[in-house]
Amino acid sequence: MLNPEQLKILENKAWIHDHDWELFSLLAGEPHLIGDFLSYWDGTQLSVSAWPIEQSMLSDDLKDRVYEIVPELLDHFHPLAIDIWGPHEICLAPILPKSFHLVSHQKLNPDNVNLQIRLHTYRLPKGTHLENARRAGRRGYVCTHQIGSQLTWQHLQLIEHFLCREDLTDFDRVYTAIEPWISRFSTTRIFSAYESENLLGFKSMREISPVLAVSKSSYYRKGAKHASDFLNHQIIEYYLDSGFRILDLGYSGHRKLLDYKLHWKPNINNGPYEERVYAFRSYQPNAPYSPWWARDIICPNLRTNRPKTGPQKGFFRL
Amino acid sequence: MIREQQHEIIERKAYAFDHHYLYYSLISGEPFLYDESLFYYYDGRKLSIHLIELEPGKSRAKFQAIVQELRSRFDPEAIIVWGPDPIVLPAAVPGWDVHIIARSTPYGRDMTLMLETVDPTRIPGMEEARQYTRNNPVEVRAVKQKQITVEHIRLLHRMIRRNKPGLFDRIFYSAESAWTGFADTTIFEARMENRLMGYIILDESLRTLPMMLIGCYERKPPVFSDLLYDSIIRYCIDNGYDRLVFGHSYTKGLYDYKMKWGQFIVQPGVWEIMLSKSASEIKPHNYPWLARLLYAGMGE
Repeated sequence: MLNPEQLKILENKAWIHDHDWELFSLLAGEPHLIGDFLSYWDGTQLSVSAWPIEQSMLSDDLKDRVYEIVPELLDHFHPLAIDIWGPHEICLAPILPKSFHLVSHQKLNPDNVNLQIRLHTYRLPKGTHLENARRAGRRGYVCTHQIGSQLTWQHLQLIEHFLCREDLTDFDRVYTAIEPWISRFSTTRIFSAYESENLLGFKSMREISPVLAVSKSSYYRKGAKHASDFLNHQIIEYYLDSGFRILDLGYSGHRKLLDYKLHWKPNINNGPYEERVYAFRSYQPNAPYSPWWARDIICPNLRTNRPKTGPQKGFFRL
Repeated sequence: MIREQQHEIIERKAYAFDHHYLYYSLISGEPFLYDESLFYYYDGRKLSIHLIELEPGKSRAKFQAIVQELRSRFDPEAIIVWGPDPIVLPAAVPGWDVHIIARSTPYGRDMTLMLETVDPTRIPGMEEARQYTRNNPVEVRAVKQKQITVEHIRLLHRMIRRNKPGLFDRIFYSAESAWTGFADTTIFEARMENRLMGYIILDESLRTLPMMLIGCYERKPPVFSDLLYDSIIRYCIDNGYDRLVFGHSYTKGLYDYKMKWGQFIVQPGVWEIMLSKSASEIKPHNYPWLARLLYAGMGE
């Protein structure tokens, strides 16, 4: 569990989406801050974020730092599976006991990068998207935002439509499905775009420190013209006026979304990430990226029906 | 959406676990209050109607008309009705299937303890539990913490394996870590040599009606539940409450156990039925919103 001192450290130093311990603990279990790294323990699986709390450590010795803490974590928790994600290729094979083997690997993908806006030096780029946003405003689109709020049925419907449309990884699926839970936290602000009473889209923003706001997810009604331009513009304007220093646009996922985000001229690129899951001996995680409650409580007999081999969108399973 | 004024009405009238719309909305969708009495929830495809009313009987008399009205307003693919005995079925709709999700049991009943009836000197087993704490390093404490630990997760797993609750209840328990992260809860913990032996989450989101939300404990030695219940009851009395909701029971054993703490207002047994368009993908195995989303890509 994070003690008050560690909570303070995280509040002062969090600099990227992956330091959102409130969010990730819903997915991965009890949060810990060991050395410069956040990790989560659910009694079976250990999840380690290799994004260091000290941004200055994003250097060549990152792998050495990770190699220092992993044995300590193994000794302490004795996990059946270990999931690690971070900004570099971090292969744990050299330091893991031979009884662990790789079961899943999401490789570095240059189209899936973390982009951020440093707000105090930022200028809104002129161009089509800004024009679209303004046009949508003139057409009568309205933006509302609420903190710690209950999602309406229209929000839930957009999420479900999104999941039906997209072939998401197991992790992204549960990451999306907890939206109605995370929206209730006082650190979540939901921006919604309406035309009359119809919800056209919404975006959930995690205000994970007094200076860092992170875009968690966005959902749009199909055919809602310029709703994303409208909402992104509104959100950028809001945070430019709010005293926040960094607006994290989240990961881009794929080329099309990356291109879209780049139109807003983010001035920081934290690069892609990779993720690996190792399992102990014959332990076979039925859904390695699923949270403990989905894996063991809601779907205890779950076996993913996705292919065990071959490429999937964004990662492949060995 | 439940407005602030409606929330005040709910706080004034609430008497049962089923009125905790703030928690149920994590599972069933956007909450609404009909006629200041009846809760219903909509998740974009499925409508859930809870017939455990704030004013018992007020809406049941016009149940068919209400269902008709809500169907016209939302055009849902499926309707869940959850209510106290006797069972009522919405009028048959051509092309719709009816599924019985759960039948009532003599023990699956919501129980509210009248705190003035608690006599701590006459609770069976309580003296033995106190004796145990004198001979063993057991500590019971109330904590306001926003993080669920792996010890809480382990006890919850064991409880789920033991009681084998249905799909809705499994989602109910899954929402626990999120709920404690943002809501006004107090976790009562029993620890022995710093090991967590049991916990109960007390929820005070409705100012007038504290509720025991979730309880998990080691069953041997059988003292931790007594110590935790005793601690929560004393906390509620000290804080000026006159009632404490114990919720539903999975087993006759748990129902009988709860009964020893005093005099209760016990609600009738509850049943649950589902009506769905025959072509709908919403079925009894996936009807809660979260299960639909998870099963869609990860189906059994």
